[in-house]
Amino acid sequence: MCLAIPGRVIEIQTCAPPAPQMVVMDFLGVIRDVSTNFIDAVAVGDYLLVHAGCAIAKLAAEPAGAGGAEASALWEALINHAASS
Amino acid sequence: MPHLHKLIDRLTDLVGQHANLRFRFLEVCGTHTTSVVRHGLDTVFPDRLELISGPGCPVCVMPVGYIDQALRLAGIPGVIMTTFGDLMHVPGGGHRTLADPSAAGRGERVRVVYSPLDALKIAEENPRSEIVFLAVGFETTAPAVALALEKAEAAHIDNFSILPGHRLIPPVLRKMAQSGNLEVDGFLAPGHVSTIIGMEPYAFLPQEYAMPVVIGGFAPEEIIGALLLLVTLVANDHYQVINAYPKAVSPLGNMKAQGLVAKYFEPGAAFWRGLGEIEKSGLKLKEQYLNRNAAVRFKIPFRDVPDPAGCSCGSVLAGRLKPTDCPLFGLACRPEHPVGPCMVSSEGSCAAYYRYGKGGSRVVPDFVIPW
Ligand code: SF4
Repeated sequence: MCLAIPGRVIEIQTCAPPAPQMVVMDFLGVIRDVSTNFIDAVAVGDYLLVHAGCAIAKLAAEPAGAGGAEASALWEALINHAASS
Repeated sequence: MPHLHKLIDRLTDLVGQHANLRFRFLEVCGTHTTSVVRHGLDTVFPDRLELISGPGCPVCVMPVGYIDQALRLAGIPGVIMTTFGDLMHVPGGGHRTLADPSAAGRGERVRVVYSPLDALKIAEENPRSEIVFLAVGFETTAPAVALALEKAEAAHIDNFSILPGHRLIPPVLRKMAQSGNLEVDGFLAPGHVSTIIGMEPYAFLPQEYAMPVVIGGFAPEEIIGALLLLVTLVANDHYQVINAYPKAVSPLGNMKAQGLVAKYFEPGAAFWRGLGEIEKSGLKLKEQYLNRNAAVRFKIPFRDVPDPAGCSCGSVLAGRLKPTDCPLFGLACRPEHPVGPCMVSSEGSCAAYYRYGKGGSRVVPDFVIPW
């Protein structure tokens, strides 16, 4: 149930505060409205992690290819940190 | 996935270099459990590395008394009960579930929603009915419920209430660490709970109990990477919290979400299946919002009810028993007729092992988006 799903923002719905802040998101072709009250400065094209109709985190841009050099560098840095601190 | 293979090789090497050590970690989160067995990661773990399931399935940890309370509320005429789908098939006392056609009695049928905001919409559309939402879930889910309450207050939607059932992860980890009979060497902390709470709430584990904590994502590479970090920490006697899911988790968590949750809720003692009552481990509505508590509104108090006979969910959730070691697993207890909640929820360990695990059928359905 703590499953959260990443999706891409395709449209910002303009509502004046205190109205809910909503965006339209694309989840692998499934389109759904999502509340973004908990996320700062949402723009079209952002990837958000969504749980129970609410975005809970903005995802940092993926390093080029999940198995790419940047991903390796991240693990390398974390492992060095764990071994040496 | 060449990178995954490299990480698995490194994990195997590192564990091999420390022949005198055991690496036994608790995976706190049901989504981790499911991902591990679904991708068969448990089949490539080196010897002496073991991952055991913990209390991280929000539906499973709800005591039978909560389900009974929900059933009693659903039967009140004029009440429309709304819930996440996972709760529908969890047996209450006498094996009744919210999915039983008779569950609503003279009330309206129980409706499954994906979001508490959808439940609020039902309240707006049905002003003559009372809409009750079963507010279960960990820190990940509480912000969505707080947002529904915020909107209900702002728009004066007075026919909307919740049955508070949120549970908090750090207090249950403290209770498990304190118990002394939990033989683990570190924690794989839940990625999505951590997007909300950040890193600090886990700091007591390394500081007070010499237990390393690694916050992990859910892809195979992220899980193996997190385990590699845990093994590194244990092998070097380093006790700290590491965030291995920085793409979604920031050190302080989501402060806006924390702020709204704190506006409506405060921590209170709460019952957990298998673990009993734990101090400050649940969220209760603040005094000024008590009218949003369905138990108060309809005078249906919580009563503690014993767990179903023969079900070992409590021991599974407490990390003391593997699902496949439960005598009922796969025999009297299967997803089609579950005895306990761990076989019902998509995140329940028993369901995960039955569907994908060594003792189960290993039929992998396609990824399903939950709406
Ligand atoms: S297999 Fe069924 S009866 Fe056994 S612990 Fe799991 S849910 Fe309970």
